[in-house]
Amino acid sequence: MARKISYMNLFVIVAAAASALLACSAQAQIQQVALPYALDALEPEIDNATMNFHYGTHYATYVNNTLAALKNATDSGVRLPVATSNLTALISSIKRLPSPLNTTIRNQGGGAWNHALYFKHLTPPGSPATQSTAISAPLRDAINANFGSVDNMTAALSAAAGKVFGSGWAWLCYTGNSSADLAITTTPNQDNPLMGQLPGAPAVSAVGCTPILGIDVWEHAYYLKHGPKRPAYLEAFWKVLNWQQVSKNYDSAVQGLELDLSEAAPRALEAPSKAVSAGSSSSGSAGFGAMAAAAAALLALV
Amino acid sequence: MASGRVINLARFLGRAAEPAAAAQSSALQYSTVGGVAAYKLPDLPYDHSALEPVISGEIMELHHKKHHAAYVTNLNKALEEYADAESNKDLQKMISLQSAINFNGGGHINHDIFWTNLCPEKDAAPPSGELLAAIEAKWGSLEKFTATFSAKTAAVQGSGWGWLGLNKETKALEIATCANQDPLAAKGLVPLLGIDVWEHAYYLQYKNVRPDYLKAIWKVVNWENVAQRYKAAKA
Repeated sequence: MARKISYMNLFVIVAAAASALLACSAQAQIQQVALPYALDALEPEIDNATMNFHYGTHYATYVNNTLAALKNATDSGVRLPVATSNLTALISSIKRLPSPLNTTIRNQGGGAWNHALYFKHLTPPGSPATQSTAISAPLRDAINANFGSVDNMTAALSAAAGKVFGSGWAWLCYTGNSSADLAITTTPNQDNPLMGQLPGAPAVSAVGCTPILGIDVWEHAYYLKHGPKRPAYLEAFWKVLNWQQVSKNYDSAVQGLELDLSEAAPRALEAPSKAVSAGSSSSGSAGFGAMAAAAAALLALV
Repeated sequence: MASGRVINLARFLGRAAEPAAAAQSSALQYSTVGGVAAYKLPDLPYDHSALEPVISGEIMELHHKKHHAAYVTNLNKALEEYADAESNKDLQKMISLQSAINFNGGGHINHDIFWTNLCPEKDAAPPSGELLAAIEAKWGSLEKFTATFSAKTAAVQGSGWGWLGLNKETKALEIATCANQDPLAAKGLVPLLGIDVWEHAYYLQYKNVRPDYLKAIWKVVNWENVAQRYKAAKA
């Protein structure tokens, strides 16, 4: 085993790793979250047609419009206070964005963020992750402390979702308030509690909290299958909710980390070969590949 | 207990809106049951399938018999509760019922206008006379008006309506948009023509392509009705 590594070799390896890292982040941009399930895998609870339109068209459009607005801004030399690749940072900083970008990020970026959370925490009905046993101990404790029981919480969230007038979302949020660290709140259109209290918007309870569970109640989320019957959709929603993912979201929020709304976990850990990917991830994985190679090269020398 | 008074919906829609709103809401059909106004779901002036292929019969049936009907039912329920609260001098309750009355009352007013603003394609004719002159004076041509209206209405975030209204003060035509079921009267405009862009108005047929719906709907606009409203509003 070589114990002496020339400084030149070390420099080359570090430089390679650094440039791979840079390449990786420079190419990173907001994209749709890849689904670890097929678009028809949520049947019969959420129908294939709805998933096709909702994921393939509505969500895709929010992402594309967000990217276009960001490109337009940066091309025009607008200096943004946060990285354009960080969707969470963008929507949390809406009040610091110049007009009209702030409006576009609110409506389109909000749409992109909200749907990332939503689709990432769905899973085929009947899978173990949909059982309440899949709720992590810390999340279960928090739910019990704040609502008395999981059933109480889901009933309260469904009620809130049922009361939203017009388009909007119902959220279970982490508040960071140690005496009551979970809250239920609703927002109109593609607003999100992370945006803070926006001028002209109705008062958001628990404003600033981090959503860990979101129910989309725009009509496009349920109309094809249920028509006007939102309650039927709400009942079906709980049968495809991925409690493991919600638990991860809670865990991230508690640690003060941004929710991971990027690529789903590596394919090897999730089931199907039918997994659907949307948005190009090839540049991202090239970066990772180079990083891995550089890391391997470094390790090989030790 | 029912108070024996008829509740004028206009009271809930904002002071500025009162004259216009009163005129509008007094046109809504209602019956008095136990002394409290019970608003009624109007019949469509045509069959549910009459607007095909522009708006499908399936959409029209759901829209009229489910969505609009629910607004009427919920409005009457909220007004009855309001009457009770009022006779009990329960101010908190009265205040808490305001949003239900606004949502459902606005929904009832808006859809009541909407059904009359539409007609089968074979019966539709372009605007003429004073209304056309006013449109051309303001937007240059009917085509430019419809293009502007469609663009502004397509841009409504979430649920809402696009409107052609008459500014009571300036007597000028204006295009405006409203969120959810907010009544146009609250903006000081008399509603002449409204296009519903809640997803339930078009989704089953047009999916997310709201601009296609807005392009097609001009074929079934009842300009005669719009002209009647224009004349009445100017009076």
